[in-house]
Amino acid sequence: MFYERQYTYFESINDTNLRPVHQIFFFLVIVFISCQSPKTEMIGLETVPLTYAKGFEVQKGEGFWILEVNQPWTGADKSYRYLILNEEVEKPEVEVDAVVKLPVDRVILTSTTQIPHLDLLGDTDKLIGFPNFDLISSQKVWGQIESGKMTDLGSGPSANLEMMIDLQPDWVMISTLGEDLRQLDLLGQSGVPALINGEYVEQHPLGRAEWIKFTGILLGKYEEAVRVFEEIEKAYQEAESLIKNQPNLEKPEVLSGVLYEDVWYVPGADSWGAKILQNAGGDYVFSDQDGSGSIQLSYEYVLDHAMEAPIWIGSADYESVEQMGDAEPRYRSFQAFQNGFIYTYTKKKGPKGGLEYFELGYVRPDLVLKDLIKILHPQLLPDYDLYFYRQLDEN
Amino acid sequence: MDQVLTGKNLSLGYEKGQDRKVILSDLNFQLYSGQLTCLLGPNGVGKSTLVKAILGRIRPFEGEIKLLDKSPVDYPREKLSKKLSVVLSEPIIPAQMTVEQLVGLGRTPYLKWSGTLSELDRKYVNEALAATKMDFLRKERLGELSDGQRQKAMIARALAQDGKVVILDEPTSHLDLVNRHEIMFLLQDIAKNQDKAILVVTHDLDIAIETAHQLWLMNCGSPLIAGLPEDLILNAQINELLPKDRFFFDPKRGKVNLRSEDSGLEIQGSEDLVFWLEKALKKRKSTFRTEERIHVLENPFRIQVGDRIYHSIAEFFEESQTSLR
Amino acid sequence: MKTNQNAFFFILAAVALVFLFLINLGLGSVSIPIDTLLSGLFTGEWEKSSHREIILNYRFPKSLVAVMAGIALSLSGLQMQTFFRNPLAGPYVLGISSGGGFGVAILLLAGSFLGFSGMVISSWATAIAGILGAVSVLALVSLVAWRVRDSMTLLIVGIMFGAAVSAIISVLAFFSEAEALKLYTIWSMGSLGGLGWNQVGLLGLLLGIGAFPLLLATRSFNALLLGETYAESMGINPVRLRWLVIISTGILAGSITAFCGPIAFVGIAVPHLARLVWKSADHRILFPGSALLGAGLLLLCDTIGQLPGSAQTLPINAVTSLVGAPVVIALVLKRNFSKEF
Repeated sequence: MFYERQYTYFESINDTNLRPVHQIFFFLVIVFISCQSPKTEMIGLETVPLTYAKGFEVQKGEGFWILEVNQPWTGADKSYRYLILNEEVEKPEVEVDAVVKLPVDRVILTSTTQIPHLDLLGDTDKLIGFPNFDLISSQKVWGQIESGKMTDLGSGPSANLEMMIDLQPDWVMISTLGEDLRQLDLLGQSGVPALINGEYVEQHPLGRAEWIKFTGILLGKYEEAVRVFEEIEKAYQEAESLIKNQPNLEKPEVLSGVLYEDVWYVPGADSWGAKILQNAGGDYVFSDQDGSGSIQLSYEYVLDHAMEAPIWIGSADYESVEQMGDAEPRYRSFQAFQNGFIYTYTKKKGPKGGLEYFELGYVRPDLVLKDLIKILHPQLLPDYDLYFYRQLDEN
Repeated sequence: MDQVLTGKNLSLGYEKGQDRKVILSDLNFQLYSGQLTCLLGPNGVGKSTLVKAILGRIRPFEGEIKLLDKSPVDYPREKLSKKLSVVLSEPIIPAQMTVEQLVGLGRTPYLKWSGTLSELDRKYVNEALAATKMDFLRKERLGELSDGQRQKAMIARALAQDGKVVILDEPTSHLDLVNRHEIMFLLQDIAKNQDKAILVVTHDLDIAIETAHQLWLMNCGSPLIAGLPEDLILNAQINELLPKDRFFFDPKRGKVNLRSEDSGLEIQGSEDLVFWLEKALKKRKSTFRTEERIHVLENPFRIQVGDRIYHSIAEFFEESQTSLR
Repeated sequence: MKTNQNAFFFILAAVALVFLFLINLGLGSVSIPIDTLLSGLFTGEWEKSSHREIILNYRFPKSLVAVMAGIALSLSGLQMQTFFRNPLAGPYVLGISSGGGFGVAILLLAGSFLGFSGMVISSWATAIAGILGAVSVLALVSLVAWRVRDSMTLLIVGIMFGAAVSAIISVLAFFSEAEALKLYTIWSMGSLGGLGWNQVGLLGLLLGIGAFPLLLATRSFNALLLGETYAESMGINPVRLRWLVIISTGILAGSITAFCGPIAFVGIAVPHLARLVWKSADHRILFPGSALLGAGLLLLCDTIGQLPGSAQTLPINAVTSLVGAPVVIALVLKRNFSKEF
């Protein structure tokens, strides 16, 4: 089923540490089914370079585009090709997994992280369906919902599929862990182009944001997308340089993660979140724990390493410090807790409680970065107000 | 000798919802202490039902049972267990338990919640072990005993429970001949020496006659017949147990005999010898006929027919076969 | 003499328990040398404040929980084995751990239906959900126990209830979001270290309440070794004993499941170990013996599961199964079980 690509306690579920079974399976799949569509060299096909994203490639031809997603999910050994045809152009001879004919008017998204792509490109009105509205925070999309133009696709594993086919969209964008590919086939057979968005696999903050170009091409708005991305890139780099220009800046130790039962779940040092933290001039306490997803650490280890960290960033959705302490009294041993320097990304919520961080965060890493800089080194951004993050109230 | 258990005009059976099935009716009996009583009867006649009623598991439809002064059903469970103990035919026992521990379990109704035995309890255990001559095996594990020894251990347990009445349900059905005798004699001993009323449900007519002071005979459709075994034999009431058309109890020989025709041969000799030759002939349904007299002699044993001499009945039959042709 | 031999083993077991307790306190991801540990405990002075935190607020409660869980599970396992005269019975045959799992599943998995986003799950919440679930299944089983005469029937019904509840949990799991599913899976692997001092105290209280009736019923359990018919003939009330067993096991196994998740094998294997060590079927010996061995075994398993020195840990269920399965196999091979029951 196509489910939310949200962050969770576990940052991102899709890390190499967590699905060894799947990795073995896919390795075997590749050994037995090595039928990759051969790259067809065609005249007039130019490769459009991308700056940060590694998960997809763009090729432009006469009146068409080819998108190749080579990292559709973590540990995938399969790639997907999609053909996007301009209006009135004949389909060229090339093997692809799905064909999209421009212009498109009706699309379905399946992850909140994909929503800002539409908003930023001004195509919110094209959205006709989404699973589980409660997660959405975008005002524009809520406007769409309230005017009755959208169908809730629910959250059960199979209901989605039938309703999607019924709606006959021009395309559906999917994020997957790689275990529900049958659904993809079914959609294809029913004439609905299904496209895999693998932005969560990217670990570079700007790499994830660059996927707006992916969506842009699918909407026929490549140039728009480039413009939007370059703005974001510039903002990010400006913020980054604030830190880079201060080589002697003291970097406070930062703790991140949550405790469940007696095991801590923290972002790995190579993960998206950890990278932005480093860029923001923070010293992540678990910088020696390799991994690009959520990793598990024993209670003792965390206590030993992070008890004295002054700041705690990213601790799940608690209303207040007091509530957090009541839910898990052992948090009280941490200095960051005792001093109340706990920040979490719940400042902005949608009307039904959906966290905007999980929606806008991927495509606006500049805001995340600025938030973190503001928390860690407030003197560098005196006029900036926190966007996603807020400090937990006392009670 | 006291009257420990009495039954008057009992009607017993089972009820399921609205249906009432009467198994026994018009039952009258008395069980005395100091005596070994054997209950005999064909399968299905209702012996277990009677035992259940005595144990207080079922309530009589009509009539009354009194164990000492109360009906068994009216006794609180623990009190009843101090008056009455049982031994069933097939023991289900933990193999690791020692004989001593097993007999100790018999004291359960008297123990505190912790299950520890007091001096008095231990005295009863020792006495029970002595009475069943199991003393020397007291530390042995039950899994390592022979069947006979195990059953004796179970009897010792029932003794240690120190009830006035001990009821045994076919206790010797799985045992060999020697053990069967041993156990029944043991029970007879205990009944006398410890002034207990022992009721044994059994199919073993011979041993019952040998050892019991009282027999209770049950048969379908007739009331319970109680009496001394010897009385019941002499007045032929013992035959109630047998299908009368084919079997009868021979008081002389003290055993069950098949009713069948005489061989029609004239046999001369001492009573015993003639008897056994006749029996062999009857079994074979032999059609051997001769005008001659057959003599059976002893010292040494020989059968003489005319001038022919045979040294065993088997030899005689061989010859008679040939001579028949 | 037998009593001396028994006493010897008891002393040995008690000493081993203390030893294992100290080892469990001393070993973990963070290495805390034994002298710092002891001086900290006795003088109150610690080298690093994180050491103090770790020992007092994490390892100490965890060790106590291990001891309590070991006692609770082995006592309830022993009861079940004697009452049902079945060597494979354990604390969960009446469906209690499934019930606990059901409560927690509703909290964690159905929550994703009802839109708990952000997942603010406190350890009290899972404990309460677990208790409610266990109690519900227990109530159902009791209802059946009331109407049913035969103990074997009760056993089968209990097992079937457990299976039915597990099936419902699978359905909930099927429809839930991946994150919620992971939370549930983690819970079901068991955790001894997730409790604070308040909860430890409550667990201790529940343990006392659950175990107390067993003290009073020792002679009844001994009588039950000969089967219900004989036990009845010796004055034991099997109906009353049945209720005692249901309530005692319900409290003991139910509270452990609610607070720590289901912990496999301990309840089944330890009573057999006790029978092996003390060579006795007498419950005066087996109850305390099982308790001691159970506590020691769980301490040992937890110490192993902490993977001392590494930053990762193993879930307790994995360790008890890995340790418990060979033990049960060895026991079965060594003795002829069918004679035992």
